[in-house]
Parts: sequence; C-alpha cells; structure tokens
Amino acid sequence: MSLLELRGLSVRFDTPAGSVRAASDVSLVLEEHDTLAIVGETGCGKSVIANAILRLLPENASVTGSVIYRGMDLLKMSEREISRIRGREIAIVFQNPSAALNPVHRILDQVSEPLLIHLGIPKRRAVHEAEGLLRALGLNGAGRLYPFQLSGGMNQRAMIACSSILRPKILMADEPTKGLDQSMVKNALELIESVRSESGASLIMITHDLDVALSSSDRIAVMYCGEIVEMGRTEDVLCNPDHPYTKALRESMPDRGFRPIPGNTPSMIDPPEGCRFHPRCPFKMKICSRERPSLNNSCGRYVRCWRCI
Amino acid sequence: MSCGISAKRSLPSNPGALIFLAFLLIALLSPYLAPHDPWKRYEPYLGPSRDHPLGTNDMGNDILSELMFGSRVSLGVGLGAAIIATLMGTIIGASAGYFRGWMDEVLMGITDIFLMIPQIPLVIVVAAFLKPSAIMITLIMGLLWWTSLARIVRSRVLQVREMAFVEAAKVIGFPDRHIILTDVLPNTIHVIMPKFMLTVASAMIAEASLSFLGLGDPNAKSWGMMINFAFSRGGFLNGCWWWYMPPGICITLSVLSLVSMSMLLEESREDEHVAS
Amino acid sequence: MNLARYVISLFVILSLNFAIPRAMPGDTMTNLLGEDVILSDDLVQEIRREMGLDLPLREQYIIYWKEILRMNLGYSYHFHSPVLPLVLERMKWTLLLAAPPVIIGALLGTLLGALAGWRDSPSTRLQTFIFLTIYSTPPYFLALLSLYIFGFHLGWVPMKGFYSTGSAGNIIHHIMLPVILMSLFSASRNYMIMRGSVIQERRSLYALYARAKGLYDSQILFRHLFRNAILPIITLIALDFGFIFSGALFIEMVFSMHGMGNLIYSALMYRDYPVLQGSFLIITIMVITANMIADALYGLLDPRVRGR
Ligand SMILES: Nc1ncnc2c1ncn2[C@@H]1O[C@H](COP(=O)(O)OP(=O)(O)OP(=O)(O)O)[C@@H](O)[C@H]1O
Ligand code: SF4
Ligand SMILES: [Mg+2]
Repeated sequence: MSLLELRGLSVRFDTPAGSVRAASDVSLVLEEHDTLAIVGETGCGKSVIANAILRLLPENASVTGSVIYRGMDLLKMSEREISRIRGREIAIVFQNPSAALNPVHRILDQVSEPLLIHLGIPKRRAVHEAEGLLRALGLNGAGRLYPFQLSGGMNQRAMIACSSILRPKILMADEPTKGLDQSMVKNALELIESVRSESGASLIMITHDLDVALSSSDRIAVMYCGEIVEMGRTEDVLCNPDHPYTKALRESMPDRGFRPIPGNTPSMIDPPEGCRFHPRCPFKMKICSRERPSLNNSCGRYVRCWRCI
Repeated sequence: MSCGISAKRSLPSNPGALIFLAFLLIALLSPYLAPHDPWKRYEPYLGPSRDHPLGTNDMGNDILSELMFGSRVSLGVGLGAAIIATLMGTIIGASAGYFRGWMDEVLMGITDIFLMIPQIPLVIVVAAFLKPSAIMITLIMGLLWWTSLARIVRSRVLQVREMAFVEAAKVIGFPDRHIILTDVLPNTIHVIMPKFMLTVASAMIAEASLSFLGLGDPNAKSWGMMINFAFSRGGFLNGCWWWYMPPGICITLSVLSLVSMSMLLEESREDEHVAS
Repeated sequence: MNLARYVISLFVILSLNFAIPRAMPGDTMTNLLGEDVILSDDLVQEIRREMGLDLPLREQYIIYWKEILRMNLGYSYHFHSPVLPLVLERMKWTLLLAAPPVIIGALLGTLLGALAGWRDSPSTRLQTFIFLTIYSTPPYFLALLSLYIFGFHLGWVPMKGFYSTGSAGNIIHHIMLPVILMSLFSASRNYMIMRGSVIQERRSLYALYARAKGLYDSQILFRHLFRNAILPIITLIALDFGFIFSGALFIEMVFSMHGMGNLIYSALMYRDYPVLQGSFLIITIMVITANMIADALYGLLDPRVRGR
C-alpha cells in the first residue's frame, strides 16, 4: 500500500464568472520517503492540489475523486477526523510565511501549538521542546519575538519548524523559494531536506522553478491547466522531456535563454478542447484539437500527448 | 469596475432595497397617496377605522397622512445630511490621501479631533441655540458627520494612488484634479456607498432623537416629532398604540433597510476582493 | 505623540465651547446665562462687566481659560448652582447606568458577533437580524416601548426611575430595565462590528494555516482569530462610547431617572445654556478619556503597536 494516492482528483470552483476547473483528473502516488515535485506555470493548479489533499479549500470548491492516505479516503472523513491528520500526519508549509503566522502571537507559542493541540502535553514541556527545535534550526532567541519582528526568511524557518515539530509522514511545501534570493533558496532547500530526512517524511515540493525541483525531488509531475501532462523520475523528465509543454517550460527557464512559451495561459473556466496545450503547441496534429490524450504509462514515465504513444 | 456588478445583481432582490424604495416613493408621492391633509382636525383619539386607517391623535390629525408626509421630513433630513457629510468626507479624505504630506497631517489631525467629539451631545448644544428648522438640523448634522468617512476614503485613496493607471496618468502630466475625479474617485466609490447609507441611517436616528428632545422643526412633523408628541401629550399613557407605533416602526424599518443594504454592498465587495 | 493628540483635542473642544455662545445668533449674554434669567437692566450691566463681555474677544478668551483652570464652568441661574458640581453630581448616576452596559455589551456583543461571523447558520442569521433591528431602533423608542409593556401593562418594573434616595435594592429594581436595554443597545453595535471583523479575518492566511496545523473549528476562532478581530473593535468601542452615553441620556429621560439625561432635558426646556455646555464638555472629556484607555489597551493586545 502506498503512503498517499490521488485517484482522479478534480477540483472546481464556483465563481460568478463560471465554474473554474482548477484540477482535472489528477492521479499520482507518493511512497514513503519519496520526494515528489509538482511544477508548472502560475495558475495551473499546484496549490489547489496541495490544499485539496488536506481539505483546506474554500467553500466554493467542489472536490471529486479520492485521496487515499494509508488506506483511508481523506475526502470522506469528518472534519473532526481530518483535523487529526492535519499537521500531525500531513503538514504543509505555505508560500507567504509572514502572513501565515499569526501576527499577535509569539513565535514560540505558535511553534509549540501543534504539541498542545495534537498531543495535549503540558504547556511548559511543549514550549521547551519548541525552543529546542528553534535552536536546531538556527532561530536562537527568536521564540520570544513576534512575526513582524523577524525577516521573511526567519519567518519561513519558524513556519517550517511549526509544520515539522510533530514529525509528519508527509510534508508539503508550497513554493518555499518564491521571492527568495539565490543564496536563501539554497538555505531554504537545505533546511527542508534536513528536516525531511531527520524525520523520515515524504515530501511534496510545489514550485515553478525547475532547478528547485531538480535539486529537491526524485520524481516530478508537470502540470498544465489543471492536468498532469508528464510525470516520471525528475532527472529523466527534465533532461529528456517528452511532452512539448515540458520542453517549452525548460526553454523558458532563465539559464536556458528565457524563451517564454508563446501564446497565453488558457482559461480555466472554458479550457481548450482536445489536448489543452494545443493552441500553444508547436507539434500539434489534427487529432490534438479534437480528442483529449490520456496519460500514458511507459516504464514508469507518464506522458499526456498524441505524439508519444 | 467589476466591483459593482455582483452588488447590482443582488441589490434588486434585497428586501432592504425594496423597502427603502417604497419609502422613497411614498415620500415623493405623499400628496397623492395620503388620504387626508395631515394638519386638518377630525375627532381626536380615534382608533383605526375605514376613514382613518391608523386613527387620529389628540389634535384629531389623521395619523396615516401624518406618517406619509412625515417621511418627507425624516428621509429628507437623513439624505440631505448624509449628502453634505459624504461630500465633505470625500473631499477631505481624498485630498489627504492623494496629496499626503502636510495636507494629510493637518486634515487628519482635524478629523481625529472631530472624531472624538460625541456628536449627538454637540448637535444638541448647537441646536439649542438655533431656531429649530429642518434645514438647520440637516446642516448641523451634515457638517459634523463626515469624520469616519474621511478616514475610510483616505485609506482607500492611499491604495488607489499607487495603482498603475494612476501612476501613468501622473507621468503623462494630467492635472491632479482631473486624476482625482476620473481615476481615483471611481475606484473609491464602492467604499463610499456603504458608508453613505449608514450615514443616512444614523442621521435619521439622530433627527428622531432631536425631535424627541423638542429640538425638531415644529412646522414639519417628522416621524420623530410624532413620537415626541405621543410621548409628551399622553399617547403612551392612554394606550394609543396606533399613534406612536407606526412612526417608530417606520424609523426602524427604514434604518434597517439602509443598514442591510450597506452590509450587502460591503460583503459583495469583499467577495469580489477574494475572487480576484 | 498620542498624548499630544488628546491634549490638542481637549484644547480645541474647550475653545469651541468658548466660541459657540459668542458665534450663535442672539445676545451673547443671554447665550451665556440662559434664557430663564430675568434681571433688571442695572444688574445686566453689572454682570456684563463682571463677565468681561465689554472686553475684546482676545481678552475674554484669556479670562475664559483662567476660569477653566480654576474649574469654573459658569453658574446656572435656573438651578441656582455652579455648573460643575451640578453636572458631576448627575454624572455619577449616569455612569452607574452606562458603565455596566458598556461592559456587558462589549462581552455579549463581541462573543456572539464572533460566533456569528464564524459560522453562518439559521440561528446566527436570526441573531443578526435581531441585533440589527435593535441597532436600527432609536434607543428612546425602544425604551418607551419596553416601559409601556413591562411597566404600564405588566407592572414588572416601576414607571418612574427617580432613585436618588433609595436603598441599594430599590436602585437595582429601578435600574434593571434601563440597564438591560442599554446593554442590548451597546451589544448590538459591538455585535455588528465584531461579526464583520471576524468575517474578514476568517479569510486570512494565518486562519488557514491554523486549520492546516490541525486546529478544529472554533479552536481557530478562539485561539487565533478572536484576538486579531477584536483589535479594530477596541478603538471603535471607545469611539462608540459617545453613542452609548447619548443613548443613556435618552433612556434616562424616558425613565425619568436622576442623571445627566434629565439635567440636559430640563436645561433644554429652560434654555439653560451654561448647563448644556457644561454637560457637553464633561461628556466630551469622558469620551476622550475612554479613547485614551482604549489606546493603552490596544497597545497591550497588539505587539506591533507595543513594539513601536
Ligand atoms: N477560491 C478560488 N475560487 C476560484 N478560483 C480559484 C480559487 N482558488 C484558486 N482558483 C483558481 O484555480 C487555479 C489554480 O490556482 P492555484 O493557486 O492552484 O495555482 P498555482 O499553480 O498554485 O499558481 P501559483 O504558482 O501562482 O501559486 C487558478 O486559475 C486560480 O485562479
Ligand atoms: S497532444 Fe498534440 S497539442 Fe497536445 S502536446 Fe501533444 S502534440 Fe501538442
Ligand atoms: Mg500556488
């Protein structure tokens, strides 16, 4: 049995402008100690998937499919049951740490809170333990401060501490490197890796930066317009992409000439018929605009493209 | 802006908006709708009947007609005061937020001071010195009620002035007045409207309270005046519920409709904000 | 910095108090003494001189400040008493009426408002409607109605509230209905503000993160949202103090209670301007004090303010 399995996960948002299909038929598997990166352009549905796993989506979202964690379907649990999973079994690190931390509570109180909530251990011991963790993460003395007194990078460390203090089985990091400069990116990734390996957790790394994906994951899922279009071992997929979108995405990275993908990101309310990438695809064929390709598996490499069958 | 769209969509179906519209129509059409002249005397203390659906008061005036004509005074004072206050608050808040610097310091300093003066007692004191008239009451309240709006407009304008199209207009060299009127204010209107409605509401309550103190216009029987008469001339003690209940209900209902419209606008704005 | 703001406010308000009777239409002396005073011409001249009304405005202004510093707010010919002790004696009773409702209303309003903002259900919607209706009703009308129902019809409470000489039990009996009304009135305002505040905070990222940490439902509200949501309320409650206080004045008038409200009412009847102005001044000073307290409280609860 896999640790986590998404089966046909789809998410729709009802908005005044129509229903937004933020994720369509997403299936993937995460094993123990596995590291998986989810990459794609902004707005393609990466955060939506992470939030759907923990059922953190707002009320206008409707989620179908299943999210199987150790044989239990998280989508079928009661709110009470899922709240015992959140933070303890599966934890998430948000993109904007300064807004994700509560502005009027001390860092120490926030980091020790999961211990109180989930384990119910006495406050003094929880605070003691949190202090130890903060020290280990290089946040000596920051515990008595408030988020507004710390830099963004320190707040991120604090949030990573807070999310990992219960040694969750799965750690999800949503764009942990966004807005950081090059040296800080390295720091943040090292920190996440050390926390992950120390607790033996699996990692889901959400990013739009292929270098980050390469250095932090064994496997990768490339998303386009709410769908997984290519999935496999990170090195294989990035060094040797099969899907035209993955290729284009790689060309658009700064170190490879920064050639942006031509055309606009499609509407998620009314996505293109057939292959969703066809309006922008340099390799498209007749069938591409008519029929939707499925995600084909050849030797553990999944590709959704009529050219790669 | 898209901000107005969902509010426009939901306003017509909002009971508050319908009620307020009904009151406005009654106020406009009261000479045609009212069954009697509100100053004409019939038999006093009559209970509700076919001729006088809401009975008569101690002077024999027909209550329903008084009520209909009274809506003109109550709504007129409320709307008038709110319009003056909104204009002042908008001008002061927009100038402070747009020009910033010493202008901001001075205007907001003044606003903070006015914000702390308890308004109803001040209105009472000022009104006591003046001969009560509906126009005078409208003016006093309008000139005192602008403070919180000025603060709200200022903080919104501070946001708007950083937006790209405002920067662009400045670079092109449009005069400030033009930028404020065509770029800044249209993007501020959705914070002004809900507050405007609340101001109408609180001005109506204040008018009713002043009338209760005998500071109202004796020549224009507002709803508040009617309650005042019912209180001071024995309507309560004689159990003439048809005398004092209708004006009270009218005040509550119209204020309620205004407040609920304001809440609706406020909430639909926040929904837009989240969706974008 | 903040202290300077209060000092300036006070200065402006006291100056306003100087300006109003002189700027208003009518004879300044009448405006200063009240219209209930009938004096012989000689006496008028003498008082006019004594009050310095023949002097230029600038000197009158200096004299005015000297009198203020000597705690002299003028003399009421109608009540035959200096204004300040008269107002302060009544203020006691009004505070007795207004203070408990400010506290009850703050607790009740913020708690129920927070729950209503947190969860939308038929029962919270009904609650919102009820508080909205109270909010929309002029306080004196609500008072009149309940006096009529509970006093006149049911006879549960006395019709008149003149309790300046009663025993403690007597006072409580008289003050109960007014206090309940005031509390509802004050709670309704806090309820509306707190509900809106929680609705706003509910959408913040830290609330989502609290959920992601495994907090369950109202734990998020009470451990995380409440303290943030209540911050804007504190200032508003203080600013609202003026409204609550005005509400108390009207309720006193309806219940014929011995307090500022009736003092103002009779001052209005006899156009006793010194008492009106003195009352206004004292009420304003109280509101300013409430704001100072709120400022201090805000600093205590919000580390971002404290840090500065
Ligand atoms: N609450 C919501 N209501 C409506 N649409 C939503 C909502 N949340 C997300 N969306 C839409 O779902 C799509 C996917 O959003 P998501 O946040 O997952 O993108 P992302 O891949 O994480 O992008 P980014 O790199 O910018 O974080 C977007 O088009 C977004 O507009
Ligand atoms: S299916 Fe066709 S359009 Fe889509 S990516 Fe493959 S080649 Fe391009
Ligand atoms: Mg995202």
